[in-house]
Amino acid sequence: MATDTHTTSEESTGFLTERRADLARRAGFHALLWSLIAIVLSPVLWMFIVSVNQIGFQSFIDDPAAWAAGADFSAYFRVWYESDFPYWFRNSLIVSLGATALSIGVCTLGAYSIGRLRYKGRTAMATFLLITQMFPAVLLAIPLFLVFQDLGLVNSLSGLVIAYVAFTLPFAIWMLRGFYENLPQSLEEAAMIDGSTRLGAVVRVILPLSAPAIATTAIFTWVLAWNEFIFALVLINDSQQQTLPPGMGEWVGQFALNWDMLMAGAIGATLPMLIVFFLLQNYIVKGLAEGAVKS
Amino acid sequence: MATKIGELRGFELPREYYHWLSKESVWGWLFLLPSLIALGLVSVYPLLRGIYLSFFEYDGIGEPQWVGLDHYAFILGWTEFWLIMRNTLVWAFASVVIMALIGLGFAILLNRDFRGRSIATTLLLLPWAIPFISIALNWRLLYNFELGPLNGFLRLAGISEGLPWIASSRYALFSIMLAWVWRNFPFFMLTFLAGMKGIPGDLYEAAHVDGSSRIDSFRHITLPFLQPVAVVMTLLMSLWSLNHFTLIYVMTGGGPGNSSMVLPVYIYERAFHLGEMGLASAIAVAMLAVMLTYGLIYLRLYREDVGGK
Repeated sequence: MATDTHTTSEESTGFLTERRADLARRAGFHALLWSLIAIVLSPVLWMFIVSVNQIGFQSFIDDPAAWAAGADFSAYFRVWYESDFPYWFRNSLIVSLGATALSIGVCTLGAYSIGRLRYKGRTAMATFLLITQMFPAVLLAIPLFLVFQDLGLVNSLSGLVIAYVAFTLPFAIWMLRGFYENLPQSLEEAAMIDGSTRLGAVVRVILPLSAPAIATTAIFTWVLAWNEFIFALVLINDSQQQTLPPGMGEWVGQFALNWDMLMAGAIGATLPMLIVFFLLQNYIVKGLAEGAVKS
Repeated sequence: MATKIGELRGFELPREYYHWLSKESVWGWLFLLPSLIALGLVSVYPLLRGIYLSFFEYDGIGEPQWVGLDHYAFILGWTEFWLIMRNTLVWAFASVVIMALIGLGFAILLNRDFRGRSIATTLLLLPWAIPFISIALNWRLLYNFELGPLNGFLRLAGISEGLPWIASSRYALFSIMLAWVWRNFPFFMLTFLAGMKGIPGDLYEAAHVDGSSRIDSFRHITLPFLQPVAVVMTLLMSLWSLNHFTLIYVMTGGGPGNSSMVLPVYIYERAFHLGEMGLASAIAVAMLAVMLTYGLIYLRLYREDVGGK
């Protein structure tokens, strides 16, 4: 009898410690995870802190109250009114949207062809697309510069859009192709039995179904174009025709001591991507995940 | 649904023929045509012209001078070139390995069931949503000797008076690499996470019943399942890393000396600042050779994983 009670009590303490251990493990997990997240995000926080009131790290740690008292958004106004930033921003928007529209228009049919139709040469074409990703951008930039010089396309935004197709198109086709491969094979065939042509079936059946995938591909293409540096650097000389990355790259020397302005500009260049990111998060996550898994 | 022309006419053509002539084949090439024309104009033609240019001495203004293979012969014995080639390879492959490992670590953390999981995932993805140019400016500030937080922490912890992160030839390449890893590890994190979701849970249960430890399960179940994803991501990411320009150009311009110089930045400098378009093209062709060799060996080794059915 006494031994019985003894065992029960031992069991219950065992149960308690196990629960406690479980709680401790969970708390430890959360502490680890969220402190890692804080470390990962700290550069972004610092970018914001300096943009509203330029300060060194030591002085910030010593007296954050002084920093908060002096915080304002004047650097953002200076960026917008006292530099070429607004031109760069506008040009970046035009070029990224233009390159995205152009490559999505062209890549949809190409990706359908490679992802869904069975014909000789298809695999070779798929491999060729992957190989174009191995062309160094600088290697293309030198001859493109010479050609654009002959054609009078240097300093032209439409010329830049055309050049961007060199890297946006293969990537877009590669990404969308995986999606088409995973659609049930009989979809457009059913429409074709009803008397529609292949093109008609694609337009009426496949395109509506793949709208989300096309949207995802468009986001990724747009991000590639928004980030592009070297083609813009080579093909545009006039500052007001420049895009954000090379424009801001040159800016560093000019405003080397105005870190508030540089950080305000850095955040300004980030905003469009952040907006897209938060609005279309789920598409992006799916696109990143499936784009790779399904290829 | 390929219509076999041979069947319609009552005889069989050899396989190759109906492949080329089937309706599906015609549509296939027709749909592919706009892409091929576009890529021909902006990708293949410039590539060929770049290769052609590498046989000339050309400053971009005067007449190109034919020099044959001179540039290539020169490159082979040129220590500066080999140093930069080494930098480029170290930069690309070391950073991919580091970001893959960090991505894997975060994927393991996020693969649990816990409250706030989707918020955590979103927050960790954030570096990916910041353009390179902003990252370059931001990390230049982080590395700033006087004002930067990194040296600030070193001083707070009493470890040192601060390191010249991007100002010294010892640390520059590594410091830029850190920013590059920071931006790209979410890419690996997400794809690994997606890969882990595809693993059937009963595999782990069976392994548990058989008495294998967590580490064993990870090695024998998780890792093999992640391999196809990892293969594709590693290929793409190493090609993108080899090709990357912005961070290095904006953060150090390849300096001090050539300590953080990589091929894309170097080729740009040679072509557009020193006006050596021919020599720059030859270096670019050498870079193309490295990328193609790596890419094609990779494709051969992992053909199934990359999806060349």
